[in-house]
Amino acid sequence: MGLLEGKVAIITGSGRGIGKAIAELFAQEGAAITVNDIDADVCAATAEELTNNGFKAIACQADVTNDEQVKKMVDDTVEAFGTVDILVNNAGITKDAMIHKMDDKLFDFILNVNLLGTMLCCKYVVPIMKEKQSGKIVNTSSTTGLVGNVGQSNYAAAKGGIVGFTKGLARELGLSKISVNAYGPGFIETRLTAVKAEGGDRSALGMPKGIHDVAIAAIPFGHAGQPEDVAKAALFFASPLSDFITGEVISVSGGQLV
Amino acid sequence: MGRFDGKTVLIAGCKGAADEIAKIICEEGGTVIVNDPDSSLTDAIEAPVAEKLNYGTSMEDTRAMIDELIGKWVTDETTKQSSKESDGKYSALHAVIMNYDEFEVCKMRADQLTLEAYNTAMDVNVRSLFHLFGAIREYYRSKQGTKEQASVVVMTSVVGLAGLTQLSTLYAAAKGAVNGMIRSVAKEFGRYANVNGVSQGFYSEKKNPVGPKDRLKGDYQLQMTDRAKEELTYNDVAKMVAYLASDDAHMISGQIISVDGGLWLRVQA
Repeated sequence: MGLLEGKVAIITGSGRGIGKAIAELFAQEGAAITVNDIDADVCAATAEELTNNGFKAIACQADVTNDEQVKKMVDDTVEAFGTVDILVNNAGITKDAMIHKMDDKLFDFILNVNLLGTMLCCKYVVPIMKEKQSGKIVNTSSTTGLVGNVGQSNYAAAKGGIVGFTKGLARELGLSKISVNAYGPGFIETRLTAVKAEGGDRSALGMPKGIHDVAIAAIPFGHAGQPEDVAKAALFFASPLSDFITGEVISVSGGQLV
Repeated sequence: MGRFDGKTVLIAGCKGAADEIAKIICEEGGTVIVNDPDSSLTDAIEAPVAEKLNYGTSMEDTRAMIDELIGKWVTDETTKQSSKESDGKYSALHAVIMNYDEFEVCKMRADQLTLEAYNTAMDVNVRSLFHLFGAIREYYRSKQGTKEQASVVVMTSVVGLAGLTQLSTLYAAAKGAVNGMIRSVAKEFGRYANVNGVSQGFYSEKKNPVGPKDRLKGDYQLQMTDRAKEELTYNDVAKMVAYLASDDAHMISGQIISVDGGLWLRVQA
């Protein structure tokens, strides 16, 4: 029997990358999955992949910064599976710039996708969990939110905000037996950390090779983490293994913060 | 001789400890300028400050304020040298204390969050600081390689570290965001300015939270410290702010130091 047998999980940003790894692992552990992504195609493809493999899954395309779309995602989940037991706020994005070159639009975009998105998903899931007097909320912070990073003041604000929000929400929901924890991935191999082509589009996702290599060198394990490494931390916080743990933020970074 | 002789300090945001901070810096020889969009708050400052400004916290207003104070500075991207394009009222700005704060709008449960409250909380607590950091960066960068290290002190809260006050996950998120930004900008500004935070505990007006009795009792027990019978005062906090804004703290950066009577020690998680 899996650790999440009979549970219903919403995993935001799970069309690809870390979110998809979490969806796959949770499904293998017995959970019914709401796959969410802003990109309808990858959202549908991941849900289809899960159902083709014999798991329960639905696709809910939604922009997590849109109040109405988030509400619909939660409503659709309840309609499909009857409830929500687990929320993993994984949807996130980076786009870096030194602070004097960053405009309001870029700052807000990163703050809103990462922080507002997390808060809105909690807004609609919390009443369901409070009624049941149980639930697991797993938020995604980052090593950048814990110790900062050059060129990422927007992302650090968002992910630092998630640390504060996680602890505040853990206290607010403690008496309702809802646990709220967060993990802070370090350098994980995804499209956000992939090496950019030299001379390519500067606005494309990814990072220059020099910065990529320096980041790897700072990890005691000597290599980047995989999405599956983060998924295991998410599983711990979503499962009964962490039943007496709330308000915690752990780093999943190969020792980067040691 | 005072620690702030010949130094100019901007205090942005006049709530809370601002007046006490201004008094200490003025007493120690500093020239203090205060700013707050709300003129009733700048009017209430009793310290003998040099100027009371009422600029808003938008990017445009913040840049206009900094231009007025120290002139417009630009960095040549080829030579990486900063230079002045126009003069300001003052020849230097040695420290900036970022004290913008909004708590009242944050008082709601997580499931009551509104976009309006979120935006107000982020505008005042977070975006205002982002605008200030961006506005002073070019001038502060001109200090690279000189002995005139500049300082930034950001006022934050134990709520951002520990999520304490009831019904304020939004405030915890905002102050957590401030904490993240302090650490990132400390790394960006490292060669020319030190950036630190002061995490404030609870002043008396914040000791009357509302909520279920069980939770309040638990919260009270959590907030009990060895110093719990003494009120945390603005002066207690202002002394730490003045230290971090002075040259005495020039080798300290990226720190968030709690002034809360030991509260953080009890509640850190």
